[in-house]
Amino acid sequence: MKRTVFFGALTLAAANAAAQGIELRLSGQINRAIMNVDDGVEDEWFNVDNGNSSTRFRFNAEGDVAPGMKAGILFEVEYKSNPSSDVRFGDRDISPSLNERHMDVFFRGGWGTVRLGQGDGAANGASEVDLSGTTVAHYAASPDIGGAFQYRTSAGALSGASVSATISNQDFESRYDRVLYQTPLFSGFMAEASWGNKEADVVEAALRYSGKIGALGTLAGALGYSNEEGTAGAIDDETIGGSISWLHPSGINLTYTHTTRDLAGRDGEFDYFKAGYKFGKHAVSIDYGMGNDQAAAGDEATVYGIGYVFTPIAWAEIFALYKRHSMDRPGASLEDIDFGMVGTRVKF
Amino acid sequence: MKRLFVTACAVLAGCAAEPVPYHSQNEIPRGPGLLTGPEGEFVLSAEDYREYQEWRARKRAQEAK
Repeated sequence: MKRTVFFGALTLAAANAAAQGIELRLSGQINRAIMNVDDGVEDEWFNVDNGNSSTRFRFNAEGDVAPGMKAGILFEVEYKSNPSSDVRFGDRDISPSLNERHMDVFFRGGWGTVRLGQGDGAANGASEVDLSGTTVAHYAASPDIGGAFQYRTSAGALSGASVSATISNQDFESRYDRVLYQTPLFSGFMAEASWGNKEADVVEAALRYSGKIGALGTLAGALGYSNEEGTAGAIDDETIGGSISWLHPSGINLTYTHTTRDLAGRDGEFDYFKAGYKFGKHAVSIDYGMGNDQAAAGDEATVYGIGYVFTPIAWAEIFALYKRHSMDRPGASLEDIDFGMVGTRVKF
Repeated sequence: MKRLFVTACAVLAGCAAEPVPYHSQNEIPRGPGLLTGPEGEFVLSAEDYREYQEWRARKRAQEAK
């Protein structure tokens, strides 16, 4: 029944597209990996969907609606079985479900782009600009791999402090229902602003840049700001920060991220450094991240790792990652957590 | 810090740097696909829909015989 409705909708969409001369496009990817986790007490293998860039598919269409103006849609959902960000020793088998990513209507012209619906807030991804070629293996959002695992105390008990709670890259407000305006590109610069709501109103703004700077290679970066109104006496959830990435023509690349988030009585801080090298079909990088005061005052979480991506053919990547998460909490002695992962992303 | 940022922006905007669209590698990659070939996307167009209608009409006619 569901399949009939799905293909019926596709047929209708194609019929309408035909009437308007608009093409409907379908694409997607599958991203699977084998992950090993050792928290000092348990050591297990997991079969996961890589949260760095989950299994997903999308429909998009765009066509002329008036002289100098285009309109279109973007519909994208993800379908993750055993997400690498959610599995843990106590839950190795997580059923997949369709999760919304983009359900967008947009209008585009010389004046810029307006987007309406579920999708990226203006600052989403501003802390994740990365030209290393290894982001499918590792990037600033390190909890996308192993975020649900908790540090063990030296006595072997779960501490309650998870990787995701202690070293988030605090990437603003992600995706939600909003209206977004993007300016046209000006010498590589673009500004964005959005308003929308989750439980409370959310306002975001960002300035992005991407350009070739002659013999020095390519430079990309973004600055972002977000504010989610506090509810019932809570403070506003305010985040500011950004990222910058430089790729030299030799393949050497450097990336840096910093974000600060207002939390009750403290600021949650995040810093991330990455250095890499791209050559031919290969890309390799090392990274180091620090999250301070995120889950509790005095917390100092770190991650370091090495990632490698091999692209034997344009539609497939094979990747490998090793990383170690560590955590210092006043009055507690916590074990490191080691992760190893090998997998592949195939675009279909 | 603000002055440094504004100066950096002005230099980038003014030094004739060539804009390059940034595509996050965490999104679906651009380029070819395993099933979709060089285009990397299945494309449903007016032509496809006409062919579908013709195929359906032929099939119905065959079934009616």
